[in-house]
Amino acid sequence: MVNRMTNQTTPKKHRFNIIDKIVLVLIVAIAVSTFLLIDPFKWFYEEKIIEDRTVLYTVEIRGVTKKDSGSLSEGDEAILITKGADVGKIVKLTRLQSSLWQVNQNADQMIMMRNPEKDTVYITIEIACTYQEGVGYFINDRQLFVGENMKLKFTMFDATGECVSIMEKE
Amino acid sequence: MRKENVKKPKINLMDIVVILLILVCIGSIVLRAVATEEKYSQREYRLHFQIDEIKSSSFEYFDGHSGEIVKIKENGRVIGVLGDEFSRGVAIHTYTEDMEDGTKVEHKVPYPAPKGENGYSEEMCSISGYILVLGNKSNGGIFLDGTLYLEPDQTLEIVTEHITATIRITGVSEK
Repeated sequence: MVNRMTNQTTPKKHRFNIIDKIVLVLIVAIAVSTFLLIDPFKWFYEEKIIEDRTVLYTVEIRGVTKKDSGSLSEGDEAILITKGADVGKIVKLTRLQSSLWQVNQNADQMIMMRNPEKDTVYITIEIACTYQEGVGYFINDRQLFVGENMKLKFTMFDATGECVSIMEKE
Repeated sequence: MRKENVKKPKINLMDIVVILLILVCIGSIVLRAVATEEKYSQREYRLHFQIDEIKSSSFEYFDGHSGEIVKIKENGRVIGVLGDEFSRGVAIHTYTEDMEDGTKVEHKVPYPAPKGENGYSEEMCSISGYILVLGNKSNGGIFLDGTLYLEPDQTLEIVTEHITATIRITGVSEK
């Protein structure tokens, strides 16, 4: 704007009218409502109870040679290969003759084939873990599940077996 | 006579930005409200499933575990909670045979009928049961939260607090 008397330029004044105020109030109201609806800090105050527990999990390992099977004994260390190496203790061992389900000759029935040369070993391992209610048991961030394959390291050999049972130690 | 300048309303960039912002905010709130309403209009259904081939001893991790949260293993998405009716049946092994003409033929072979052995058993069985889910029924399947569609014959790898298994959806029914 030019002042005709002095011929000087004066800075343009910002007019803060009622419409601007309404728009501002509207924006703030909408922002606050959206914030309350989305609740972005929900994760922060939601309680996540994690407790230390001791579990006994049993792994079924098939096709173990008699030599390897014989090298196992209760009280031995069993290392579960996770991100780290989690050491547990073998508390129970059960050896059965190794078996494998196969389709029969007529392809109309599954039959159990036994192998007397090898063992199926059920190894129950005691290990410290964490428990999260409604989620499950964790060993070093790895969740324990029945039905999942696990890699284990024993004194004499390494093996992969299927977890067939999880029980909390009383 | 001096002609007075008529002040023309000018719309600047800032006005457009503010208007757009308001429209986006109103739009989001409307969408959210619609989604919330849809969520509240969802009903509880039974998502029936079958596990065709599983160790007989696994049955105890379904039966008696009613109310345990069921998630999709791949992404951890919650789909519902375990129901309270489970039954054990004959397991079926499925395998594919490559034929000489290059085609593939699928065979289904039954296991011996399970006796219901637990513990250290190699016995196999099938498990039938249901997951209690919240959603909207549609074309024989179900929409969970309006984003995940599950339908009969679909297979899913699920996890509960104790077990992981591959289920085959067999149907949806009212709770």
